[in-house]
Amino acid sequence: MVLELADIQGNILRGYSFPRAIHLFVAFPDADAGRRLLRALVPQVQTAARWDERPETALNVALTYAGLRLLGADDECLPGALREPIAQRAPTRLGDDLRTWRGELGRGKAHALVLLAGDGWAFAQRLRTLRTLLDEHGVEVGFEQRTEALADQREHFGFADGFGQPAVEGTDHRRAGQGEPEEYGSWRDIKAGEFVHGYEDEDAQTETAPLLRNGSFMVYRKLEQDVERFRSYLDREADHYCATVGVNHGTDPDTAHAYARELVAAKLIGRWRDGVAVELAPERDPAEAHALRHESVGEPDNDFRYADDRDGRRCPVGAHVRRANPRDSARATAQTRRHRIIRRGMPYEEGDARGLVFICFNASFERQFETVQRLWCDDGNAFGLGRDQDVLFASGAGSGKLTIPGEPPHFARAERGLVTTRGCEYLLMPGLRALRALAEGGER
Amino acid sequence: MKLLDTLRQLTRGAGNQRWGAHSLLILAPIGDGAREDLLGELARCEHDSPLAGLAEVHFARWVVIDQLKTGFADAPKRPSRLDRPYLLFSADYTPAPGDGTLLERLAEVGAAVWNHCDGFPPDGPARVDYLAAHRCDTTLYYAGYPDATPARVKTAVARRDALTRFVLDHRDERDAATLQRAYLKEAARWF
Repeated sequence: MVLELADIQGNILRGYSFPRAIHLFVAFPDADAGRRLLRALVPQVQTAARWDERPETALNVALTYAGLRLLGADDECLPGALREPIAQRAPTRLGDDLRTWRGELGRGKAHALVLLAGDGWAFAQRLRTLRTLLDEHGVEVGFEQRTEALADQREHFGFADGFGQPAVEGTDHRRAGQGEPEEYGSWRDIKAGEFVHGYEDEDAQTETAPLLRNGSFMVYRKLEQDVERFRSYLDREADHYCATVGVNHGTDPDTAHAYARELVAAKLIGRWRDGVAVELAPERDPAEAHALRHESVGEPDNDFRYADDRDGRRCPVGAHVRRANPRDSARATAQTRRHRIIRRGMPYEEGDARGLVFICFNASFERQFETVQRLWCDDGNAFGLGRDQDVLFASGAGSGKLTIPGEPPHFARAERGLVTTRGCEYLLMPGLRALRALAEGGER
Repeated sequence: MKLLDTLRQLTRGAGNQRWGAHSLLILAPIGDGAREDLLGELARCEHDSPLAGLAEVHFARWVVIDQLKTGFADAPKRPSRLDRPYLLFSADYTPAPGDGTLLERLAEVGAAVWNHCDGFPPDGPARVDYLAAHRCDTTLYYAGYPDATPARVKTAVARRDALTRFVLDHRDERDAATLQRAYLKEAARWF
């Protein structure tokens, strides 16, 4: 199986890891102007083809359903999840409270998303050129978002993030622990059709429409993180952890408390802040608590499974990363390979507000992203955890508790408002041929 | 009706009961040009489900089937195609004591949905006959709690939630005897 890398847009199968990006949600004045703009943009689009020398900047284009309709796309092949206005869908399918959404993101006005990534002078220069191009085509930017990577691959809660990605068949950048767990400790790559249309998926389906071939469905979510609240929440839980379970290392109270903070954070997320998987290292040296927050492990070992840890004594069953990718956990074993997503999120900072622009790619919004978000993170039933929710997405619908199994177990309180959705959009990031056909008005 | 006939041939004798769990499957052709209105009605149901008041139902859903799946492994080379979309209804339930059957109640509460199906009678007992005529056996279904009624499941969930609240409210209590007294006092209200 050979992937048509020159027809697949970049950043889907392999992350750019540029330090900076801007996302421009634009509205075309009419179909002709939209097509003209696409014709100008298509030659600039960065593909997944291997590069000899890393480009200084990279540009990509995705389209909303409104944009595809306007451009005259054959929308018969598009799923209901993309057709339905996201502001209508998000409350029922994602648990969003629209009162927390801000600005124009997800309000149905955008036709396309132009993403530009890079750094330094080259980035600034290309952004100027891009804005001029948009102006020339009478295209209005309704919502724009800047993102900037933090040092050490961290996100704003302080966790090293982004390396737990699926290993995709046909690509050459993958490591043990990222595909589908098989017997004798081996891992199999996930079929490319789970992420890019036109290739065999885990159900052996390959059929697709020309509009979708080499394209991927993209989820865009702006998630604000309340860093102060997370900090004080961990402090309170660490107090309680020290008083009940205890940190039995003969350490002084301050060190014990600092370690308990890191331990509780790690158990609830499933990774230590430096990126090490809790499943591989359920305990760390309390004296290193400070270092965990400031020194990331470059490429943390991902080669682990949960089957021997069914009750979650090492990594709690309800930990964030275990929910999002349960690997071989007993009750979800058969399904995990059908519910993987490729994440390409980046942190943002706007005045006092900080957060993550969550971007993920999948072949099915419903089966992949929405299942992970709604059934696995927002509820615990799939894992035998009743109404327990993911620590990051606690809401009024949850049990209000999180369990860290042990002797004795630690029952943490769920804290609402750690992460607040500020907007959401569903898009198609088409393959280059489909993009060209749309630009020519021939995609019918 | 061709799809229903084919399905009936395939599922004949599969039965609709395993232990205490019962299942119901109804497949009805959607009326000409009624698909969009039906989808609108189903979208309204997402916020205010007419099925929520059916005491015997554990889980139920309506699904619009636009076309048969193709392109899967071992798929027939010349796959059958549907000439129109169908509405599938499936439910697992525990029969409730008292008057009436689930079909009778469904014909009443679900009329606004089945109204979009070809030939669904405007009113009266003929609606129940319509649903019965479009029923077929269920080959595969899931029942999480085959021996419990929905009411028992709801009671158990309420007790679990109460226990969770108790655990959180008393998590700082270090004295075993005090904790036990508090538990016995609160738990007396749960059972």
